[in-house]
Amino acid sequence: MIEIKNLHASVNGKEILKGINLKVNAGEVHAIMGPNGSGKSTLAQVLSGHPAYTVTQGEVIFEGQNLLELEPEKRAHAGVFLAFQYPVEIPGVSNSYFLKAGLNEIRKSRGEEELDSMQFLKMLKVKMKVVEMDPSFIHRPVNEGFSGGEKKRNEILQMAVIEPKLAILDETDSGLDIDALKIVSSGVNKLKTPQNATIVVTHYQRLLNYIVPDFVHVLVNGRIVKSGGKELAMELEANGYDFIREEMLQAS
Amino acid sequence: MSETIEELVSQEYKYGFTTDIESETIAPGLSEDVVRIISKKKNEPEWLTEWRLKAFRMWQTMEEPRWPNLKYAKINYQSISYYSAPKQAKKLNSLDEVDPILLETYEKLGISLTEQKRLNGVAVDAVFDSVSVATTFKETLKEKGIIFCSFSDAVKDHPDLIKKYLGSVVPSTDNYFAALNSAVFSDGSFVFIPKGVRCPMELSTYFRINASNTGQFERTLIVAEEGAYVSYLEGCTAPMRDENQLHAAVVELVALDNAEVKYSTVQNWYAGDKDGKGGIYNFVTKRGKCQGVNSKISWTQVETGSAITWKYPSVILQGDNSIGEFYSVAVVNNRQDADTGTKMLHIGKNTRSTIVSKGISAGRGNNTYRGLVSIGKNAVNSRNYTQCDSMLIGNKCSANTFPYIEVKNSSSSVEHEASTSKIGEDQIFYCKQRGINTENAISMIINGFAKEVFKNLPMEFAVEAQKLLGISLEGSVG
Amino acid sequence: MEEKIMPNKNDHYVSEFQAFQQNGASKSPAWVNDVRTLALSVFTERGFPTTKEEDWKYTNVSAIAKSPFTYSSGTSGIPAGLVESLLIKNLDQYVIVFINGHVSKEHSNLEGLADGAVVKNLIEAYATHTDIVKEHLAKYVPFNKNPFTALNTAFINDGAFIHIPAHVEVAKPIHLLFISTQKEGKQIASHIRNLIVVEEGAKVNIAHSFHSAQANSNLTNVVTEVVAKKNSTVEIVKVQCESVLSYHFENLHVHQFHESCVHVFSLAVGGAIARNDMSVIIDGESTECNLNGLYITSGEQLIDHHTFMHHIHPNCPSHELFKGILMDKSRAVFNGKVYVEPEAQKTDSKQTNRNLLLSDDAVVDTKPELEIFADDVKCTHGAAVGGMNETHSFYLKTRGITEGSARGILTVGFAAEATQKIVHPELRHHVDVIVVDHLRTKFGTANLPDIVHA
Repeated sequence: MIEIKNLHASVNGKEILKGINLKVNAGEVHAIMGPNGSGKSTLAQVLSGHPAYTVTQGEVIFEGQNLLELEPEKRAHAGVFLAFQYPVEIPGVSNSYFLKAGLNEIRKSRGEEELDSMQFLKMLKVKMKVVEMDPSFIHRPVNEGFSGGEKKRNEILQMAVIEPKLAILDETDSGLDIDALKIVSSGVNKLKTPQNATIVVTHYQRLLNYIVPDFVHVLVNGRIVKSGGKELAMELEANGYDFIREEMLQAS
Repeated sequence: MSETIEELVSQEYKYGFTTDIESETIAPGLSEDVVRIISKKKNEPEWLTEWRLKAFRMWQTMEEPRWPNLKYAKINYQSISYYSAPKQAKKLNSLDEVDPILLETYEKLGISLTEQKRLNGVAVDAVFDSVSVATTFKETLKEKGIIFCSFSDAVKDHPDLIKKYLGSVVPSTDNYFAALNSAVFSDGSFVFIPKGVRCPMELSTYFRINASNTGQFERTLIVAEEGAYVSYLEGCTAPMRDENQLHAAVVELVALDNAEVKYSTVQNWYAGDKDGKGGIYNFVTKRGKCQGVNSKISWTQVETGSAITWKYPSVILQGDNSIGEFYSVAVVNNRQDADTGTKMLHIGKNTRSTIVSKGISAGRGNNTYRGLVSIGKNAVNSRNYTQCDSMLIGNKCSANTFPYIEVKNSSSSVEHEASTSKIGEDQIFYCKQRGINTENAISMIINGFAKEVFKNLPMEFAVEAQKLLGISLEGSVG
Repeated sequence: MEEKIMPNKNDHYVSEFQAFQQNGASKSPAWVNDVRTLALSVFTERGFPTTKEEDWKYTNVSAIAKSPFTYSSGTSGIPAGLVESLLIKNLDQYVIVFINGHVSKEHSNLEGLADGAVVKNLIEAYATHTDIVKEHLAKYVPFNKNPFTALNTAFINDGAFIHIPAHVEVAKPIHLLFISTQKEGKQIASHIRNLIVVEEGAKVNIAHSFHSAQANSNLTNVVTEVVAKKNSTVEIVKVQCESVLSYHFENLHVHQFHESCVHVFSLAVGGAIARNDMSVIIDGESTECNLNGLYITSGEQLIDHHTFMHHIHPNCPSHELFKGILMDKSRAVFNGKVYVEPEAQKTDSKQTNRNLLLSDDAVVDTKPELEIFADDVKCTHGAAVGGMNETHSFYLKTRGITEGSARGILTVGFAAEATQKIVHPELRHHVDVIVVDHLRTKFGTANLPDIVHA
């Protein structure tokens, strides 16, 4: 589905990603783990086209398309979804209006009929059950006044509505208590199909108890230094990131 | 992002056409004779002629205000024609007699004067240049005792009411532009809602400047008797012309005991081109008086047009427990200057006022909120809450806030909050990640910013206002 | 219609000026005399302001225009022990005392100032620090805008001169103590001129105090110019406790360069009419400015604060909090302006003015202004006027506190939010004590507990 080759990216002239290689197929869940400042969130942002980051080298092929050439909204149309680590507040714009506008743009780009308000609301109500969200959230302004957990749930709701091919969850577990974590992960699991794929970016192994990855990659200093199955996450949890660093030192 | 916006800006003002219709226009210039001619053309009673002359004499001794934060070329009051009216053979008895060219003009503006075609619930008074050309639903309203007619008709048919209320809120010599209007006003709307009547439909006046080189000086007077309610809408457009045209209107609202008047404006006069050439100079005095106890007046305005806007819709809270509200969205783009706000004068006990002002500045626009909240000594237990938010798009524009707060008793409270922000890059990126393109994202964010004001507009108007906001800002976001 | 008082009354100041020159002022350097003459001509042409001027809309100074204030040459006697009583308690401080605008060396104590730091009176500095004085004096505060500044500049003579050389940290606070006293039954005018230059990386705390020796009706008209060079840190704590019959004006101007950090606090409780014009020019990137104040008015006092925060460069936070407590028939005026130039992106400016009205006869006029020309800024301002919070008062009463005490405690609490902005702990305590003592005279000692100092 997506193939990242030798991806280098920098922000304000400082190189953060130093040659990422990663291939994700439909139906797979990949977890990207790593210590703070290793470039995990940068990778998520670069894939969705955040203007603050400059790609200096490498390529990303998504469903046969050069992803890096596309504007962020075109990437969304193509099926890339980013669940933000820090969801943005947009005062005065209701959640439902926002989501409907985005969804209809995406549907248009796929040559599908736009949904009218009735159809949209009906669908939205179904999706809201997936993340156990209170219906009052539909009319509240996008993320404004939401608690940390509510914001993250709102991200998964949007994912449920948009039904992306590739979902990138950027530190979706941060700031969640255990109940919210269960709700959010069960939401993600329910949305999983053999046709879509998920990249889970996280610092802790905790989330991976609920969203079980097929592959785990460890990102250190802008490079993937180790890849493995879900047992790698357990190993990290037990030994911390230092053991990787030591391995690296020994290797060099 | 800026290029996208630049492209957006280039859209033309869509109401900029002119109507080719024969008009009777008097020669430019202003003197006592001109004031007399206007009064005579309208067959006014002598007291009104005198009232105009008194205002004119005072106007001559007054100076144009210099304090507003506005830059505009000096107005030559002698080069303006003070009266222009489409030629009509005789007094109209029904809409069928209105010149078809005029009806067509209003159709083009999206204002149908044919009653069958109008949505139920909105009666319209159409003012073309200086005169009212048609008022719809007159008969329906008459059954309830509601008077909705042109100002000229009201002078003829309801002289006592006019004499009683004209100038009772905005005295003829209140300020420079009000005095000018009082001297030369040609027409406008008059609304009277009798005791205990709730007006069953929205009343609306649609102002259109057509003739070149003329000023428009209309006057609106709305009186709501005890327990009455009315919602009134005002819309305005003008052709695109290279020279500046002067619009100096006066609006007076009176609310007696337990009455409520809601006045909404969508002001879309021609704003001039992107270099600031042409456009309307809009100097308007709007004031309401909550004369009775428990009365309420609310102003809602969406100001997107005019090269220059000078306008402070105010409320005199005289009756105990009366309520004043002001909701405003003012947008400036290109070279537009707006100096607008409100005055809330608390005189009665337990009076309440709310001010919500949203200013959006783009291009080289200059947007100023200027407001006064005054709590008098006897206005015990009064409250005011003011919120002024500004949004700047680009750094060639400005946003200014000049609130005056005067409090003279200790049981009242006044709170003023103001903030300035911009559209966040993060907000736009977030929208884009959800599939929404830049233009739509910006339009969505701006409409969200102005939402608190829009929700006070009648539905039909709110939709128009939202679209207008999009158009006004096209090409401005960089 | 307002009486037009000027220009004929200015003749008084013209003849005062001649007397002033004859009394030795003419011995000052020629360039000082030139500035004086120019400023006098500005003043005589313009006269005292009237309420028709926007800047003076709420502050009527006709009483001042009508009074024949006299310039007092030479020092005057003050009651024994007065200076000692006005020093900051329990604090090692350098002190320089001025009586009616003239330095009093016998009351001053500058012993131990080291590292080249200079604190002296301006007249001496003309000779000893000619270059520094010439470079900065009257260079920041325009005298053609404010008539009181013009008048001060015409009568520039003495005042405090502080020069802190680069990277010097003055350990003890420097106390500038200005005392106004009666002389021969005349209303004395003191035109005090202070110049404070803090060089790169230097640090200093300054107490700036104004007191009256007795209930006199003198005029104290001050201009203080503060220059905070790159990376310097300056705190100024002003305490104005002059007689309630007197008139007090100060134009305090701060000019900030790169990465400097300035804290100014102003307590105003004295004066029949008192006005503080405080302006800050942010002339460097990444500076920080905190401008705070508290005013307490009673009787028929009028206290006016005009602040002007001028953001010229990017990345500068500025914070303003001014609080007012009004009693009796007093009035307070607050006018705060924040001006953000197009280049001053990422400005983070917050301005707040809160007023507590404790009487139905008191009047507040407040006008917080924003003028913003840059789009990437965070600017907020707020103003509030109201009476005692009855919910809070009720809460205290349910805990057994009397009505009077509840009001007293809540008022002290209201004031403390402002005084907490003072950084230097002893200076903060000093101000807190003055505030509580002052409020005690209004609320009664029984209703005001000792302040608890954290």
